[in-house]
Amino acid sequence: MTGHVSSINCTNCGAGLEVLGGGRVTTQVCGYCGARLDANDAYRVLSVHAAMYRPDTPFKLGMKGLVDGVEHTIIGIAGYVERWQGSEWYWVDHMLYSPTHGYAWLTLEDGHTLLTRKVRDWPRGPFLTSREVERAETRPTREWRGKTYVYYATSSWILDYVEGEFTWRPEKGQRGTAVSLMPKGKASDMLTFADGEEREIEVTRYFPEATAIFGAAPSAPRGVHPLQPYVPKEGKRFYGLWFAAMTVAALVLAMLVAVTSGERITLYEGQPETIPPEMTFDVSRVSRPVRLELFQNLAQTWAEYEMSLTDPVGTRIAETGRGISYYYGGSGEDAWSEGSRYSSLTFQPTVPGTYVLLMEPGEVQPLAGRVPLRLTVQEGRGRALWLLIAAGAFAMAFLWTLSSGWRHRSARWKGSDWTEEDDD
Amino acid sequence: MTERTCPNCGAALPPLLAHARMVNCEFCGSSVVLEDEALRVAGKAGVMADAPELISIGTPVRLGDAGVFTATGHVRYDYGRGHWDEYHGTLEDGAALWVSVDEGDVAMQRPVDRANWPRMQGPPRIGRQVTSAGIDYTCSEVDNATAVAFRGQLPEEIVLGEVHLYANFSGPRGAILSAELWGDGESAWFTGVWIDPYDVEPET
Repeated sequence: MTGHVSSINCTNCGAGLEVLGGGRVTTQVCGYCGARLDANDAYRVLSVHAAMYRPDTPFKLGMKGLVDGVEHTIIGIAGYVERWQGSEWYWVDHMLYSPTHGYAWLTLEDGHTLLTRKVRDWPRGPFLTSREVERAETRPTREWRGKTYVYYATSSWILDYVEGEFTWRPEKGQRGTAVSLMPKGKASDMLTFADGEEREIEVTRYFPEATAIFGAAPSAPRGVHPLQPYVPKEGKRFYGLWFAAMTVAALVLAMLVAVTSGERITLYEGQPETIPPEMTFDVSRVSRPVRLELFQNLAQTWAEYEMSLTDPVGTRIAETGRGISYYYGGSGEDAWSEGSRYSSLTFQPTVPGTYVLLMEPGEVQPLAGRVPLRLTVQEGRGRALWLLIAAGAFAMAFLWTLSSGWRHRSARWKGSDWTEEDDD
Repeated sequence: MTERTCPNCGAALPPLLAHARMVNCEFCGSSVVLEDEALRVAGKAGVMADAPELISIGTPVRLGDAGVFTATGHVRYDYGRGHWDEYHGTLEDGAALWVSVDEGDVAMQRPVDRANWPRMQGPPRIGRQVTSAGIDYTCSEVDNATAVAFRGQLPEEIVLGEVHLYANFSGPRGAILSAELWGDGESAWFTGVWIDPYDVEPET
């Protein structure tokens, strides 16, 4: 380790550069002119990068923070890009240095912060390369420290920006691949087989406290990161129980309404042309609506009926028409239908007694005239449908709340590039 | 243990451990070598510049699953860009070993039996493979190092200022093999395992 030199002047542009890393630093890249300097050879210029654009990161060179109780300093910043089928993904690695604990990486990806360290005790089996993944017939796995890591994705990265000190020779445009594996279940670490200038195996963990630790501005995470552990939202248990209770309550009420509805009585069943001109029915309860329902099993045709309804005291309470039409076509996914074989007239009775219905066919298509019509009446009818809709909505809210952990885990694996076909 | 005095200044030396071959005088800073029960001054013990350390002489530290290690000797090697530290000491069961610490790279090593020394054609170079005790290793680092300072007691004589070539070889599951080669053809081999620096903790 070094520590005698605290700053140098860039041998290309003369800018003052802090020396923050240790003895294993081989390269320093000037953040002002982009010059790559050889830290092992009097900082001679290796090459000069032009037109590098500093990635958006709240972390800066020289920031210090305690990582697992050990002070680390940010000594280098490397911006990466991955391009695939017209899409681009960006992330920023920050090289960390501790005189006693060595080097590590702090990564900023979609606002999430991660910590990566080199693995010395490599898992059993050969180094997992992208070529081996392509050849694999089943999802590759590796055993490490008592856990089974399952293939997640392969990343082909390009180095897009470099600044500061590094223990290797970074260069804009440099390429490499990384094959990553994650344990199934709740674990939140990732093994990466990095294949570039050197082959290394690294372990990465979710590190949301990074910005606070290093005194950087908070970053806003976007989406669910594969390494992000599931943290139930506050009140999940309460809301789950509440939605479950409301579902049960709505169902009980719906059943109550259904069983207390009056009997459905058939007033007429037969051909439309033989409908009696006058039909009567008795209503004993005026607290709930009465429903007259027409049913005709029509196909590719329609019919209309004129209806006039008078209450027991002689007041005409409805003078209306009702139509039934039903059309359909197509097959399979292109199948369609239009209209309904049912039509109804619902009214709120004001007085008990005998009601008179005058009904006659209006305009009835010839085909519809040959199809039997059924007319039923039901008093004391409740609106169980709305209670059932409410029960369904509450049940969906309950399942949504209950499934938050499962949805989170699904989102973690969403970015995996291994398809189920690959598993076959 | 036997009480001895420094042949340079006459100050009392610390009680010598059974394996000690070299000790530093805390009063005059001399290196004192034990040769056939006689003590010889071998120069100064060098300047051990202050630097953050995971291990210090006399302070027990837990080395992960390996146990509790107490260092009794400390050598610092300079490799140009920086330095690394080698600590000699014992585990709780009395087993002696070396622990090297270099910017978070911590390795616990013991000498390799001469029967298991690898056969190597020519000088070590990165990527070269060797086999020791049936295990294959690949060379990952080669450089020159100079012993610049020592403290405590060591099982062998370290000549400060002497340059030697060292090579590190990586094996399966964190195994490490190291070679030290001197200009006169002498060499030594050590084997052991890497230890996570976060597993090196002061023993309370």
